[in-house]
Amino acid sequence: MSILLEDLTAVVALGLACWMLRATFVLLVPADRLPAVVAEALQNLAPAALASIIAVELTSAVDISNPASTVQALGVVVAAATVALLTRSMTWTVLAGSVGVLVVDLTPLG
Amino acid sequence: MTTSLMAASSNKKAQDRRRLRGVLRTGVQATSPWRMAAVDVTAIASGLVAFGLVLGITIHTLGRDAAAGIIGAAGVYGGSAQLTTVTLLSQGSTLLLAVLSGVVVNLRLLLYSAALGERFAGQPTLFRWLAPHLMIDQTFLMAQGRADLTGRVFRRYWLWLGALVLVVWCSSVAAGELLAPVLPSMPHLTLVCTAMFLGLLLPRLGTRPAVTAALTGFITAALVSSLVPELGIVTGAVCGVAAAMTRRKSTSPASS
Repeated sequence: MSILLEDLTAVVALGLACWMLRATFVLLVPADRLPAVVAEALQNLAPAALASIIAVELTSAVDISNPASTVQALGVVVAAATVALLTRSMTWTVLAGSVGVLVVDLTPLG
Repeated sequence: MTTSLMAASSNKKAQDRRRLRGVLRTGVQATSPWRMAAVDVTAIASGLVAFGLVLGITIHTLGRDAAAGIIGAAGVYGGSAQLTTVTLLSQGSTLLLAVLSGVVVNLRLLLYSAALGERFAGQPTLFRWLAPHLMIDQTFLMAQGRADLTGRVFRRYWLWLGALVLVVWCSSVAAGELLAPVLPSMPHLTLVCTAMFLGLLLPRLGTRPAVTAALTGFITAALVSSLVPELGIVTGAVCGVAAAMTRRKSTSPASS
């Protein structure tokens, strides 16, 4: 199978599967039939999902065989988190992260 | 009599003007759906662009097909799942295993679907069939932040939000593929996306259950992803939600 055909098949299949996941509680199981306890629990889905995404991204950034890169990655995240705590502004947080990445990846400081 | 009626009418008009000014200053009603969507997309655009560039660069670096990559950006509409699938294919994995791994990475979409499902109920059939495709981390979080939008206003907001994010996302992936040969190596670029998620998370930590959900989710996801990376996010999210529920029960007046 050529790379084009293999990649196209993969993204079409993956797209369909993801659509099914997305549509499950819209088309198949009406959300109002969810038990009240589940619906209430989902109110805290956003912080749980966000923290999980951050944890996974951090875990993938940690490379034991490359301590310098790990320290740089943690430094960028700590800087962004500090700015986030101080300003509560997403614009400044993302800006801090972007500047941090530019510093560690493109300057001699990194 | 006439004077008092005129005074009452004048007072009412003044009150209406004050109310309108208040809504204009702070209220959602004064802002059109596309404007709200544009404001939200602007806030998350930098993180999206960074992650899109990473995906595009990775597709180019791994020698995968560029057109399929852009079709996948729109068709899968989930960067981490597509990245997983593409990476596994380039490592010689079978098509089925690569796709299944991508699906596992995106299992959290089930949770988003459950959380947003109620707002899709009662919408036109075409919307209920097609609009769930626009459900990703960023659109879910932005819509959760606009919990007061319902019915037609939610529908228009969601379509604008999803469409604008889609444009930013696909353009970024295409730019990554095109610019990959000339861009300097930036191994930490994806951390811009992490910063975006940090910026989204902190304002949501206003209650004890929310903090419990975040802490539990973080620890669980970190532990699980070091063993099975594909399952990290969904396991963390489920455990975080469950822990918050337990916390809520233990602090509710009925149980004290």
